[in-house]
Amino acid sequence: MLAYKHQFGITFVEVMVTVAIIGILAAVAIPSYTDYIARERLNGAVEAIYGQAILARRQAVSNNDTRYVFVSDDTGDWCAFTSNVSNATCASSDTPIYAHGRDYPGVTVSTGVSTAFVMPALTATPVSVSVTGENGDSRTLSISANQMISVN
Amino acid sequence: MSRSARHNQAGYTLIELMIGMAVGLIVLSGALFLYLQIFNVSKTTLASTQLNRELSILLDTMSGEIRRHGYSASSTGGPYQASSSAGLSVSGSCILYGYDVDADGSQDDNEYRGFMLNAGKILIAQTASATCASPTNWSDLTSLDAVFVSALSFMLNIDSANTGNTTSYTRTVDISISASDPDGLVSSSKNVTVLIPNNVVAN
Repeated sequence: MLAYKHQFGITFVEVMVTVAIIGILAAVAIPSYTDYIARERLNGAVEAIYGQAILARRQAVSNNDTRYVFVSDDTGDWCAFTSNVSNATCASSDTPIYAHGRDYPGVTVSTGVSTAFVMPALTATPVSVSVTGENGDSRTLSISANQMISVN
Repeated sequence: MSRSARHNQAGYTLIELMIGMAVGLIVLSGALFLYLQIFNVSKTTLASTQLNRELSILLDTMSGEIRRHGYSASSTGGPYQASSSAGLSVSGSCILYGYDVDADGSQDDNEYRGFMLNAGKILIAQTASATCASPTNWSDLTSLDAVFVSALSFMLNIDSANTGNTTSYTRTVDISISASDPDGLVSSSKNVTVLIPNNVVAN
């Protein structure tokens, strides 16, 4: 019994203060973490669409032929893919690996856009695609008449 | 009795605490430094991947075009076989070439072609009125918001071989290109040698 009396434990108030401090820190950290996740998803989506565009251009140059890149709607989600025909859909895409909205939750993309990389004319139909992340950040991927692909 | 209990306590001294905190701080700052380093490297890797893709497509475009130099659908050899250089004009960062793009046997205006470097951009010629002397009549092949081309050079090598009284000229063009990404994070150089399969044959 005597031994118990000499103990210096942590009081309930001390525990509550600690929990409150952890809570405040978490409240600060969680929004910045979710913002980071949203930003990385946006970057990932932009990279994936850029990858499809540059793949189409690479195939056009390698085959000295016309290749198409599409950003279209696929059952409510966006889908970016390449093809050698002008009326392809996400499902009938040439490339087994395409960029799809389901891999990037919260990222919205302006769909219904397609362009053709025409070789040997070295031209393309100028288009731009806007990609918006969950946190409202937005990036624009543009394809110019001279086939250049830029992201800003 | 509680007094004696307090006297028997052996807690941390202020010095121990300060040393502990200092060590903790050093470890933490090291970890933070590494994290930032990795973060920056991934950004650079991304920029360099894009730059390399861009450069390799550009080189493929140019070498594919230059490789076709001298092609003509005409059975008489066409307009490209006059001399050992045969319509191929190479000077530093500028090359003029030509081929029968529409395969009709004659050289149309848009079949005089060329590449040149001007103010960070590669220009392309698709008309006979474009010359290496000025960038007028040329159009942009690259854009500054995608890639900054710092150097471009073409070099023409001509080898000749005699068979009896016929001389055959084999031409290769060395293309080298240096470029950086629009933000100037990374730069890269590539070069390639293109063999022009359409040899010039002279008697």
